[in-house]
Amino acid sequence: MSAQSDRKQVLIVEDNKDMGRIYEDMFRGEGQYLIEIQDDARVAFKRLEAKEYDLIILDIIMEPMAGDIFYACVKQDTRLQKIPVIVVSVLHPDDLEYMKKENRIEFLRKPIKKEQLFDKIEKILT
Amino acid sequence: MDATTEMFLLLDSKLNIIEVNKALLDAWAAKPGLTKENIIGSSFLEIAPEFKGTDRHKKYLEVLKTGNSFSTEEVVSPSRFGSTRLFVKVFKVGDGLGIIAEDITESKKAEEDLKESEERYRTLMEGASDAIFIADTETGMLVDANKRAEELIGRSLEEICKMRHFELHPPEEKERYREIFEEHSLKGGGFSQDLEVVNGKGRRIPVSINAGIVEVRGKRYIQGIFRDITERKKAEEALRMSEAKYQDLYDNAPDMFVSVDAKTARILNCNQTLARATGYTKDELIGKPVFDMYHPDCVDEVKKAFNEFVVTGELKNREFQIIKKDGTKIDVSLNVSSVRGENGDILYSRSVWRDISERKKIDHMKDNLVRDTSHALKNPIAMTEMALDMLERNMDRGDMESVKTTEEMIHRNLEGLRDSVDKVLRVSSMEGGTITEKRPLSLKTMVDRVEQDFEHKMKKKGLEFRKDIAEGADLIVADESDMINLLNNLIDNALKFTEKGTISLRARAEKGMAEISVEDTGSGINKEDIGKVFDKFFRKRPDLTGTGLGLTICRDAVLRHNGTIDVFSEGEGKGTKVTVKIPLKGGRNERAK
Repeated sequence: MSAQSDRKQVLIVEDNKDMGRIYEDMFRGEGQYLIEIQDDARVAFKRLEAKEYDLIILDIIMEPMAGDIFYACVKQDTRLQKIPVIVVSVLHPDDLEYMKKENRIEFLRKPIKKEQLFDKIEKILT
Repeated sequence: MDATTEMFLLLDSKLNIIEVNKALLDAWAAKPGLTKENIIGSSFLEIAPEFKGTDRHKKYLEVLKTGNSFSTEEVVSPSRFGSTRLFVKVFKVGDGLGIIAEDITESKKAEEDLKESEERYRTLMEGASDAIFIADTETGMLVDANKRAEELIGRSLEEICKMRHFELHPPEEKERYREIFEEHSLKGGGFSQDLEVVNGKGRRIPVSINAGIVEVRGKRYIQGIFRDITERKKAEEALRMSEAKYQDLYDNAPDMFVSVDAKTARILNCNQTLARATGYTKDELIGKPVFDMYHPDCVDEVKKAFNEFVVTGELKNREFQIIKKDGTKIDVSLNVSSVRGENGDILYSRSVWRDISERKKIDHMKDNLVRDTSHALKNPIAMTEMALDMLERNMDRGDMESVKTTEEMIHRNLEGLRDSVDKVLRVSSMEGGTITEKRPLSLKTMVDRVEQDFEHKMKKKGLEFRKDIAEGADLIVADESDMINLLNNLIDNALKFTEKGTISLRARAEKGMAEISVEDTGSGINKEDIGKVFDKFFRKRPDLTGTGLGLTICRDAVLRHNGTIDVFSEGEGKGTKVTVKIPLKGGRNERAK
């Protein structure tokens, strides 16, 4: 249990099954992270309330709840709003004006390389 | 007897002169040596030897014989007056003859003069190219008219001469014409006015009347010369109509026209289109500084453009916003040319504002479409790229199982990419119409195919998919890709707007058509929006992805099959039902194009 609590808890909100598989593959062998993938942002939000996470990786174009709306909900909560977020989307940050202003958010544009993702994660979590 | 001018001669039965009066003696004075004394008793034949043996002589003898008197006109010459015209009456007195002769030379001449002057008058009247009426100023009666006059009002001279002057004109304006006539009768002088006459058939004819007073033997007449100006009036009317047409063209042109004073920048004139579009009246607009018409955000730019116009005299395709009376704005394009004075100075502008709101809206929609389709294309490309990295990692690891699933992932995403490209192409071909290839198709088979694509999404949302295709409704005649696309769009829409419950697809045969309905228990459509669902680029929820073209594509596809499509919803939250009718195989609509 203690070993597990040392690992960084990463919540990935992504509704595309294949993208989920890509994340799983990227995190394969990266023992310091424990990932949980949710394909429904509404369920993901419930998970945030139930459990502590160190990082959220967030897609934007999702159904039924889009990533920016999910983030707006997170921001309402004083505890949750402290969790850093990496937005991974095909969208350009310019298309997400409201999120672009948030200094807590990092942006990566699909397609992403494994190295790019981990550079960001390490930058945020250390 | 001697006092009269009539000449008198009394003869006995032998034609010897019994009595002669002074007038005759005077007339005979041309014959030398004749006195009353030496005439009496002498033979008439000796006094007037030229008479002997003439027709007159025979007639005189005839009177003596029969006692029947006769009268005749005769010319005697020579006489004191040269040739003399006499009116002669011969009658029997006792056994002899009485002859009375009246010199009618003078009265004949007057009569002839009169006749001649009358002829001249007639010639003048009839030779005139206009209608002439003569009216007595005292009685107002028409006393004469020419042929043209008869033609003008379609009445004979006889009829005309029974009319009073005002009867020539429209009866309802009798008083007015009476006044004109009386005033003119009193004042005299020339008179010229455009008025109207009414012909025998009651038709009004416009005429120009030139009238003058003529005096004949102390009596005053009005001579009116009437010229038919129907043709002129027609030409005037035609001109007026064509002017009105241009005015109408100006006022009701699709674009807003405005003329702006180059010095004051105030509106000099504008058309009704501008008034209608902005909610101002023309009166309110004329005189208004043109800068007040623009949205405050663009006024500075407009002022710059105006200064440019004052120098160059033209502006082309500038885009601004003008502001309506109610404060709302209209996107306009501005094109300006100038009207210059004789010295070349720019006097005022001819400005055209074209409402480009619709174009702006479409531009905006196009931007959305481009953004959305670019997402639809970028996503599978991004996925494929990332999957290739993943493939490489798994090759390195030697994890052949994962290599296989990654390869499948690549295929899936490439397929998705192809679908997106198809959809974009379909949208662009939508404008020009597409070639449809109609053949018998099984609805059941197609629904099964489409269902597979949605199975995952349905499960994810916990929705139930029910299908019920009646036996007689299975075989339709349609283009396969159109139908697949139609079913895809209908189910996709239902899925998008339904969070729980059921999506039902039913089909039944009705009058040679397959009636296919897709019904959901989702968010429904409110009354205002239901009319817009077929509009290109309409999206119920702009936050959701999609091109906003789904139902437009569906409708176009259905119309290509001579079918119908209808959308029903009881309102927000009450679900939606879309019903499509497509010809059945063997149905009477099958052959329709």
